[in-house]
Amino acid sequence: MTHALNLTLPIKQDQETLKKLQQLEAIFPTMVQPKIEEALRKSKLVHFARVLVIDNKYIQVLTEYEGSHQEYTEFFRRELTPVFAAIFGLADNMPDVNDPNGFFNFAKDHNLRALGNTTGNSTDLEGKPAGWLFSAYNHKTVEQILAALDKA
Amino acid sequence: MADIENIQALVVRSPVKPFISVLLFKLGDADAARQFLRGYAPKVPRGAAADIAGEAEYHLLFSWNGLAKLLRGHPTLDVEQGRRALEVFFTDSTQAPDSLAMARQLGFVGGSAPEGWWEGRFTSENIDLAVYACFDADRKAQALTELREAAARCGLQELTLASFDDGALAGVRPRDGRLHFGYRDGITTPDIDWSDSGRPGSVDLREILLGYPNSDYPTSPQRPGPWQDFARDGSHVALAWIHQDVATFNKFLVDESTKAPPSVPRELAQEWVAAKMLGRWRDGSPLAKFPDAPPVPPKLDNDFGYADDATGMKCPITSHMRVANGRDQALKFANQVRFPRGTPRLIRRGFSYGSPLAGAVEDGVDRGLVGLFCFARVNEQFYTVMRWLQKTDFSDTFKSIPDGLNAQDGLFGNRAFPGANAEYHVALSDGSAVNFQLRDFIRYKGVAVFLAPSMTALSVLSADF
Repeated sequence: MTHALNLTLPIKQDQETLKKLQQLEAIFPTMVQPKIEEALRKSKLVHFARVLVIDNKYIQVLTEYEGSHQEYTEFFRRELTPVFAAIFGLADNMPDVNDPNGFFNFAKDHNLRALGNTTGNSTDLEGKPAGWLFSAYNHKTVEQILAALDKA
Repeated sequence: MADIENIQALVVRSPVKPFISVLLFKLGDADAARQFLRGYAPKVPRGAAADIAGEAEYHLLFSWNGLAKLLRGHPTLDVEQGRRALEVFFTDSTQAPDSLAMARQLGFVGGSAPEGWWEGRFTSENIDLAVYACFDADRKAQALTELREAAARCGLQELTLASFDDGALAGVRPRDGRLHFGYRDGITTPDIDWSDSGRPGSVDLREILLGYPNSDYPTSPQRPGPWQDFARDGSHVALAWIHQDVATFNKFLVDESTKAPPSVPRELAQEWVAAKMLGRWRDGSPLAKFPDAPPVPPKLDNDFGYADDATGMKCPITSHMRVANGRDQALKFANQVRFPRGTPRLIRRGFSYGSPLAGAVEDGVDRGLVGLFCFARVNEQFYTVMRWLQKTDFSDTFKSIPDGLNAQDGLFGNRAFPGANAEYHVALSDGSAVNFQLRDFIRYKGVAVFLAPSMTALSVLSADF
């Protein structure tokens, strides 16, 4: 079952934070994106991922991935600690990204539910039915898709 | 370095007394509950304490609700700070084993669904305190009576279970170590490096103890302070009441024994099936070293790995031992990152309950085992192993068998788990394979997660403030 992570953080509006945001945007293509890409490619858990900034007011980390929310949070935290530190640092009440507990709670509190209803068994981090997530290939896993492509 | 004398003995060594009960309580007035603890905390053995014949042995395990009741208003241990400092999978009921978020992914579905737990008499969230008590035969009745009277005097409400004569989870440590499915238990025990010396071959104490976080083992609480001090030398303990369907298991052995290859003597065929399900012959000898027949006498060997057996010709890759503790078997990349020091480990302290099945037909008697598992991280250890029992997608090794990423632990998998592959792949030495048709052999009847506080923390919990 593929799940969506719709992590949405309000960006602090002080000058220092907005400057950090500019710096993040500047280094993203060359320094941040490759690190995320390498980790996600090796994970074979994530279908798609992107990071968005909305009017300098919100930053979003949006991914479609599989496995339970709880199971691989620690993988992402450990593998991408500096990336999450930079992103979470733009928001209020930034957790210590070295603390799995704080990291999980922060992600849980900032994950937005999509509109609509899941057509499968997808749930949010509290086990409630998730919002709608369309899958053109019936929620096949990354492993299944890669294996099918290898055979093709 | 951990202070071994500060750890409840249950965590350090296995009790040897033959009779064991686990009494579950809901606390009433906190002051009165502390009075109860002042009476029983001194009876908790420390560290590697030797057994004292004739004296009952007690261990005290607290849920988050229990801790919160006892510490509300404490001058240095603020409950709200504790809720955030301790692991969310311990303090937040939405992440508990019976929660909407967790139950399904841990395999608590179908006959193991939380709706049927604890005989429907209470929920895991109702349990504040579990008292793990061990007795010699002649002392049990009196000690249980004394315990219950003390609890009642101090306002503790016992959460009783009607299906046990004792009214509480109760059973025995079988004299020959064999549980209801006939397997000798307790052979594989992690060798914990309590002195934190880095001794080769040992398991880091941070797999088990709170209070010593580092980057490999980021246990909660992470930050130095009163809650980390409180948690230090404590261990999380999961309690699992597990029914074993012995009649179904025995019939399975008979049915599948016809698939044993010609090289297996006919009289050994059922034992061969049983061994393939666990990873050891039922007398305890490991398949990894004795794949063809059990040695006489048994060799309870624990010094082996699976690196030379990638396809499971010796020991099936979905056998219980190999799923629950993959030893040197490589994890997939994401799990290598999660577990830089290797497969998560648990200490097991269980006992058997219910009379043995006589004959081949189900007799309606409840029998099984009560498992207690000690670990430091709820989600990364206990929950992770529980997930792996239900879906073997945690290592690329499983890709070597058909639909292997949806396979299950042969013994503990719940076949009602969504997408479960109920075919059990047994690779044979000639390169062929046979498939067993898996059934449900066990059913969970109650699961809860506790903290076994250190002796120091027990003093804090017992003291008035």
